This record gives sequence, C-alpha cells and structure tokens, in this order.
Amino acid sequence: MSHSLLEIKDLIVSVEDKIILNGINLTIGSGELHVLMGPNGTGKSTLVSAIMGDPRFQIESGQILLDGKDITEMKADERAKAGVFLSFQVPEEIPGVTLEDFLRTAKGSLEKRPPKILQFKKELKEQMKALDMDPSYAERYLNVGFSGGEKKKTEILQLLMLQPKLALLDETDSGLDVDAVRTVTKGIRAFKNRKNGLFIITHNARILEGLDVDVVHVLEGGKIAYTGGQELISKITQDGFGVLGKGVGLHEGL
Amino acid sequence: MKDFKEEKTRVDQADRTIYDVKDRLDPAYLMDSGITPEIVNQISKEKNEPEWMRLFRLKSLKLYNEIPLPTWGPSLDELNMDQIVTYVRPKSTMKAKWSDVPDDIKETFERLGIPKAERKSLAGVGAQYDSEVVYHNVRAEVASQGVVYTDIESALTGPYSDMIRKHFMKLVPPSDHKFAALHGAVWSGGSFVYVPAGVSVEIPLQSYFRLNAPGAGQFEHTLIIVEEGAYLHFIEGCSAPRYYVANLHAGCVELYVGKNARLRYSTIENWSKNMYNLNTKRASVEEGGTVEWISGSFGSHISYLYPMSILKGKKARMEFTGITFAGEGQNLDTGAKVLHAAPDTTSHISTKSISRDGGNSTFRSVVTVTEKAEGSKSAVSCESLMLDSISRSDTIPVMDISCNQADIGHEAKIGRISESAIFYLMSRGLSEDDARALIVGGFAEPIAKELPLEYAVEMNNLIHLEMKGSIG
Amino acid sequence: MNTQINRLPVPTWNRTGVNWLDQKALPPDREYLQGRHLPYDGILPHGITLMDHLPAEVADIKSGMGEWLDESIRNGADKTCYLLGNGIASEPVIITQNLDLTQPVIRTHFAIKANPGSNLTVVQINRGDAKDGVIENLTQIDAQTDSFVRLISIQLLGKNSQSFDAVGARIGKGAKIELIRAVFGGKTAACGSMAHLEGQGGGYQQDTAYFTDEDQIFDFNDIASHIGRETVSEMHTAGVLSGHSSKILRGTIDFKAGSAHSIGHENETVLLLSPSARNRTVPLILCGEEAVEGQHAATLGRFDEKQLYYLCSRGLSLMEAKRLLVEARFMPVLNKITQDDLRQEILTIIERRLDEHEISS
Repeated sequence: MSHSLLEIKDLIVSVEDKIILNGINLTIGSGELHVLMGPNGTGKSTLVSAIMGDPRFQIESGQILLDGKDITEMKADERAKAGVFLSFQVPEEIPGVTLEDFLRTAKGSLEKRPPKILQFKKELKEQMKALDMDPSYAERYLNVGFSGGEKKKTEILQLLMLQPKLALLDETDSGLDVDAVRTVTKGIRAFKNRKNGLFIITHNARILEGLDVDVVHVLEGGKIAYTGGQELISKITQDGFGVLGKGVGLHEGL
Repeated sequence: MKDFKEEKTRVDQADRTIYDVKDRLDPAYLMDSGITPEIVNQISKEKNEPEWMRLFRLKSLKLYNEIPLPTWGPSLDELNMDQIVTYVRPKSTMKAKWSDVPDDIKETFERLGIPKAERKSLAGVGAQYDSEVVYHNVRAEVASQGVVYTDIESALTGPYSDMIRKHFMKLVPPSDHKFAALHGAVWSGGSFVYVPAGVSVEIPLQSYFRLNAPGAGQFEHTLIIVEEGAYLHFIEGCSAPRYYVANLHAGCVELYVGKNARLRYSTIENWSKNMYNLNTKRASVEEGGTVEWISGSFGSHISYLYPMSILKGKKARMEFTGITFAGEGQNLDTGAKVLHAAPDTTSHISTKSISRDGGNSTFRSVVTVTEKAEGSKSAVSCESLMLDSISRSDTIPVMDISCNQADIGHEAKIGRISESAIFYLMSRGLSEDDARALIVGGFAEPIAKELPLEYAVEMNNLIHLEMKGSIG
Repeated sequence: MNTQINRLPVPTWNRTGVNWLDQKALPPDREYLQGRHLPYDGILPHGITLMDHLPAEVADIKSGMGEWLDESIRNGADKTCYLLGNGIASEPVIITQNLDLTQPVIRTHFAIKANPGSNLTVVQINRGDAKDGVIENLTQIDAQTDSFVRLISIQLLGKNSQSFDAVGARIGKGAKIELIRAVFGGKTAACGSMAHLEGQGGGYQQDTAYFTDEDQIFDFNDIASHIGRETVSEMHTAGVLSGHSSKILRGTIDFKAGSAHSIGHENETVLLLSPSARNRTVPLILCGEEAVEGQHAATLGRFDEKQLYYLCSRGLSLMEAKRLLVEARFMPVLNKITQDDLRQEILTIIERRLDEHEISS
C-alpha cells in the first residue's frame, strides 16, 4: 500500500455545541481517489470543511494528519500551504479582486515567492482553455456574477493551478449540466497523479466517469457506516442507501 | 539620511523654522488673539496684490469673525483658533526640520519607495527640489496648446488678472462658512489652469509639482477654467503624507466646466494625522459638460470634505467616486453635494468607507433637485465596511427633491468582512491578514481603477500598510 | 431641555432644513388648559385590562419626537389610556378621537404594557377638524419577553388642524412590535417614533403610508435603535406628494455597540405628482458595531416607465396603470388593517385625491 496522505483518527466535530461528526476514522493513501456518499444532512460537507479548517466547525477531539504531520490545530491558510485544497460547494464571491490576481496571490503565497508573470499567464490561459472557460473570466471579479457552472469550473481551475497534495471536492457536480460535469471530470482527470489524493463528495456517478475509484465511504449518523469499493456507487445510485442495510438511510433513495 | 542633514543645515541658515517662531513668541504678541486687518493688509502688501484683492481679504476677515463654527460634524473643540494667526503671518514660512517629521511618515516614504528628493518636498521640508524642473517642463508642453498652467499669485497681476477677478471665490463665496471666510482672508499660493475651447490636455496636470511655494498647501487656492469642448485631468496632492507643523488646512478649489467640456479632478489626500482638513471644493458645469471627482481620504485627524457640483446647464453631468479610510484617532467626515438646477442633468455618487482601530468615518451628502431640473437623474450608492467594534461608521445623506419629473435613487449598505470569505481565501493559502487586506483592497478597487496607475499602486500600498497596522 | 421636535439624531447642514421640525409645523400658539388625565372608559376585549397607574419604566420610554413634546403630553394629557396585555387579546382595541369646535385640542397619553407572551393590537383613529385644532398623542409601549404588539395609527383629520404623533417602544427579548401608520390629514402632521430594541432577538416592523396635497406639511422622524444582539428592524415608508405640499422623512437605523448580528433595513418610495411639491428624505445609518448588516434604499420621483409599459401591455390604460401603481404603494399598510370599513374609507380617500389631482405626469 502506498503511504498514507490523509489520516483521520477518531474525529469528533461540532457546530454550535451540536455534535455532527462522532468519531470518524479514515485513511487516504497517495495516488488514491476516495468517494464520500451519504444521505443529505449527515455531515459530508462538515467533514471536508473540518479537514480544510473552517472556523465554524469545532474539532472536539481526534486528529487530522497530512503526510504524517498533525494539522488539527492549523488555520486554513496553513493547511492550504501544507497541501489541502477544498472545492467549495458554494464558492465565495469576492468583489474587486480579479480571478487572475487572486490566483497569482494564492500561488505566490503557497510557493512562497511570486510566480513568474509570463509563465503564469501562459499556464492560466492553457488551463482555462482546457476547461472551456472564456479567457475574459481571468479579468472578472472572483466568482462575482458567475453562473453556478462557471463558479465550479473556477474551483477546478484553481485546483489545477495550485496543485495541492490533497483535493477535497464538495459536490462540485451538483447543479451542473451534463457538459459542465464532463468538463469538471476532465479537470479532475488532469489533476490526478500517483502522488496526490482526491476525496470527492457526490450524489451520482457522472462526475467519476473515467476515474478509478479506490474506496467509497458512506457517512451516516456522524460516522462512516459503510466502506467498500467502486461497485457500491452503482448500487447506491440505483437503489438508494437502503440497500446497504439497517441504519443507512433506510428509506432514502436518490 | 545623510543628504537630509545637509538640507536641514541649509534651511536653518536661510530661514527660521516654525519652532524658532514659537520660541520667539513674546507676551505682547500673544495678546493678538486672532487675525487682524493689519495682518491681512500685510499679507496683501507682501504679495503685491491688486487693491480689489486686499479689500476682498478684509471683507472675508470680517465674515470670518462673524460666522460661528459649524454646529454639525466632527468636533473642532481642539482646534486652537487663536493659533491660526501663527500659520498665516506672512513671515512664518512653514518649514520644518526633517528630524521633526514623524517616524510613521518617514517610514511610509520608505515603503512607498518615494524618491528622496520628493520626500523632502512632500514633508514640507524642502526649499528647492527637482520637481520645479518637472513643473517647468510640463508647463512648456501644455503651453504650446495655449493652456495656461501657473501659480495663481503671479496670475493675479499678469494677463489673466481680469479672468481671475471674475471667478475668484464666486463659486465658494467667503460667506459660505467660517473656513471659506478664513480662506478668503488669508489664502496663499495655489494653481491657476486655463484650458481654451476645444483643447484636450492629454497628460494629467499634477499640483504637487509646484508645492514648493512657501506656505502653500495650507490655504492654497486652485482655480481651473475649462472652456467649451475642452478636456483636462487635474491631480491634486499625492498619496504620500504631507507633513506640516501647523495643523490646519483650509484650501479652496473652484472649477468652471464649460459647455460640453470635461474635467476630471483627482485627489488622494494623505495629510499627516494631526491635520484638520477643512477644504472646500466646488464645480459649476455648463450645458453638456461633465465634472468627475475622484477622491481618496486617508490622512488627517479631522476632515470636513464635500466637493460640490452645480449642474447649471442642460444635460450637465457629475460623477463622484470616493473612498475614505479612517484609522486610529481619525474622524473623517466626507461626501459630496450636488445641485441639479437644469433639465436632464445627471449625477452619480459612489462611495466606500472603511473604519478600523477606533476610526470614525462619516458619509455626508446632499442631492438637491430643483423644480427646473426636469428629466434629471441621480443615483447615490454608499458602502461602509466596519473592521472592528471600536470604530464607527455613519451615513448621513439628504435628498431634497422639488421636481416631479426626476428619478432619484439612493442605496446605502453597511457591514463587515464575511468570515466565510476570509476562510475561502485562507483555504487557498493566504494568511488571515493578507485575506483581509485583499478583501479591503477589492472593496476599494472601483476607486483604484479610476486613478492613474502610479496613484492606484500607491493607494493599494497604502491600504496594505494601513491594514497591517505597520504605520501609526 | 432641548425643545426641538423631531430632531435628526446626528445633525447635518442647517441650510437643508432637516435637522428638526419645520417652524411652520410647530404646535399652534394657543391657550392650552391643564389636562385632566381622564382615564379611558371604553370597553376592552378579553386579555386587555386598564392600569390605574403608569409604571415608571414605561413612562421613561423616549419617543422619536424629543423629550420636550413627550413631557408636555405626559404632563398635560386630557385623556390617558394605560393598557395591560395579558395572554392573547380576543380582538383589537379601537380608540377613535374626534376633534370638533367643542373639543379643538386633544392630548392623549397612551401606554401599552405587554406582559411576557401576550399578544395585542391597538388601533388609534384620529378624525374631525377645528380651527387651530390640535391632536397630540404620545404612545409608550413596553413589549416584554416574547410578546407581540401591533399599533395601527390612522390619521384622517381635516386641514385646519395639526397632529403630533409620538411613539416610543421598548422591545424585549424575542418580542415584536409592529407600527402601522396611514397619514392623510392635518394642516401639518408630525410623527416621531423610536424603537428601542433592547432584548436579544427583538423585532420591529414599521409600515407607513401617506398622501399629501394642497399645502400640507408632513414631518417624520423614525428611529430604530439596535441595542440587543440579533435584533431586526424593517422600516418601510411609501408616499405620494401632490399640490404644494412638502414632506421630510428622517429614518435612522442606529446600531449601538453590542448589537452584534443585528439587521436593519429601511426603504422609502416617494411619488411626486406635482411640480410644486417638495420631498426631503434623510436616511441615516449609524454604526458602532462591526457584526451588523444595515441597508437603506430610496426611490424618489416619478413613475417607473418599465412598470407602466408592462401594465399597459396587459391592456390597462395609462391612467389605470398609474392608479394601480399608486394604490399598490398603500397595500403593505392597507393589508394590515383588518377592519373592512376602515380600509374602504382609506381607499376612498386615495381615490378621491387621485381624482382631484388628475395624474398628468
């Protein structure tokens, strides 16, 4: 087995004094792609937000290790520097800051030196092209007035430009049309390599087309209720979480 | 630092510094609690002014003594009115020692990378500096187009004396308020620009090229006349702090925009933080003309600043874009006024303000639409950002509408930086400070993009400096 | 004591004339008899009783019109009406006051104390007319924890009289107060309200509609003062100006330090039907707290061409479309008036004024 990229040990997370995640254990090896599924409201977004260090979520106990290094107490920017990336379910709009300036600032901050302008511009242009993005978006304010699909593509663009070790994708496919999902998937395929890891929250299989899924987790009642292989996805998308047996979203189909 | 020391020695030899003046205050002199007609006469005499100006000054002085301090706005209790006389005595050249310039300002110069030669002038220290040369070059270039760009004192006796007499303090009469009256009585220095009909001045004219006149910058008068179909961009001041020992600034700006002419007037004000900035700016706009104000307020202890536009002619337009950043110890009361006095006139006011570290920023405005202004439109939008809970931010707009064929819109918003936006940026690797600075920079972006590049860069630097609290 | 009425919480340029009530709208200079403080003697619905004495903490609640007027009404009241709400009132209390030659001056001191969890509605209707007549009302409301108070104030005076309507409301934890105002009459009409949102999660909603004509002078000073955490205020004013009338609206959202996570919204629409009418709007947002959200929006002037076009494209004549848009402005207030006859009466007034001022624009 490859070395473990992300390791979560007995993680308990609360929001406003309410326990959402109650003892999560999970390991993602480098080069692996894990999928996180589960009925709505079971804490999938909470889990990836907690890994990213969202201050709204309180880590009560447990540990999050990245490359063996404890990042549990780190702030979001330190985690980003350590190599974590989250594609937000609802990306923030930042008026007055263009996408290009933002990416250059972020990249400079991650690499501890400002990127070379021409090289950066070239790379940005290529990546945008690969994602079927209009080059004019580079000059637009970050996510301001972007459609849902454009926002998600922008998240994937950032993923490709920033090259993190671990990418967390929180329902990046939700609300997108077929073509946009295909583009997003293309971006994920371009990102994936033998060293990095992916952790994808999704409700359907489309975003995973052409990707080798190593492990599927099902979250229920604040715990990982079920873990299996790729075959789980088609089972769940066809028959709902009920097929997994007692305790797993008994009546909830998709 | 070495060259400054040399400079200082030279200044000392040539002039008394303001501290010398202070030391020499004798009891007899202290009995003069205010400005007397004798002082005003003396100012006028030193400047070799025409008689009408001397009488104008005396009339203004009378008004100054009659008009009370404003009953609204930031407190002026700590402004020592009795001391004003020491700022305006003709012999008290406003020179300070470089060593007296506060450290925060010196540091800013370093960080902004202002050339040493300019630092001295910006600090109000230098007696001579390279900008004089620059100024003369600019003057030669625009003069070939028939444009007049000169200091207003010499224009008063030259070939443009009639023009100045016709326009001087006609937009801002000394009776307007106490500090306009003060200005009328003791004004000194400033610029005069005349752009003939149809001429488009391609390079922006910048007033700090010629701030070397003794005492200028305290009570300077700017008079700009842009004739029919002409265009001018005038930039006042600069983004580095100007330090004066005397802490009252009561300047006056009068802009005459002719038919179908356009005047853009940009200011980035960053006076040192002991300054009372009581500046009056006003424009009148003829038919089809446009005045554009870009106004950034970063410095001063207290500011009262509300550029006014009088839309006199049909289809006259005004646009005002402003930003105010109030930090510790600052009470910046800024905004705009507009009078729609003709049909189909339009005004657009867009402001942003930021308060932090106990700073107090107020947006204040008046939009007046007279019965005659049929078909006029006005849109006001002001946004305020509070960066902590020890600061204040107030919005005090007035709309006075007497026309039933007008469209008036007003929007005001106040809020803070959203925590989720900070988290989003931090998740991409920015530190919390950088994330905040980036968001505030983005908030200010609509202003920055209206500025010439070098000013935009300096403004962004200023915001970053202010946000990191490395100054002051 | 500052004797100014309807003072702007933070003054601005004096020459705008908005810092306080216009000289012309001051109370008439006439002889006032010392009021007798006659208690209300009408029937009260189940859930509301009369208090014999005014609790001191209610008497302290400041209105938006200023201490001087508050005190003059409190001390000189001809009538008093001190209501205590307990539980859910079975129906609204409706109190009608009529000015006439025999009674050209009425000063009334209302107080409403809503006990925790109570729910009541009070309707004040002011009508009639008299030469130099004046109605002065002061209503002090103390809405305690989780209570709900709705105050509906309808002013239908004739044009020889003046009205002063002062409201002060203290809003406790989880409590909510609604102030619904329809102002049509009076030579001059001055209203000043102040909501003190003291308790956590308190709410304040204000809907005002007015229609001026001839030489009427209307003057409003409405303040939502956010003191407690998570308080919410919504202030909406809609009006139509015609004739030579004039109106000032001062609307202030004041976030005091400590009012974290509070929200204040304010909006105003004004339609000017006549070229001789004058509208002044002064929407203040004062803020001493970081974690708040305040917003103001105002649309002043003429009809929205796009709306008119849309309505006309559906078959309405231009006149019908304009009428519809004017009436639409009054709907938020009319919808809250549950008494059919009263609502109809107000609609008739609007219709009549529209007829008188043939909408020409």
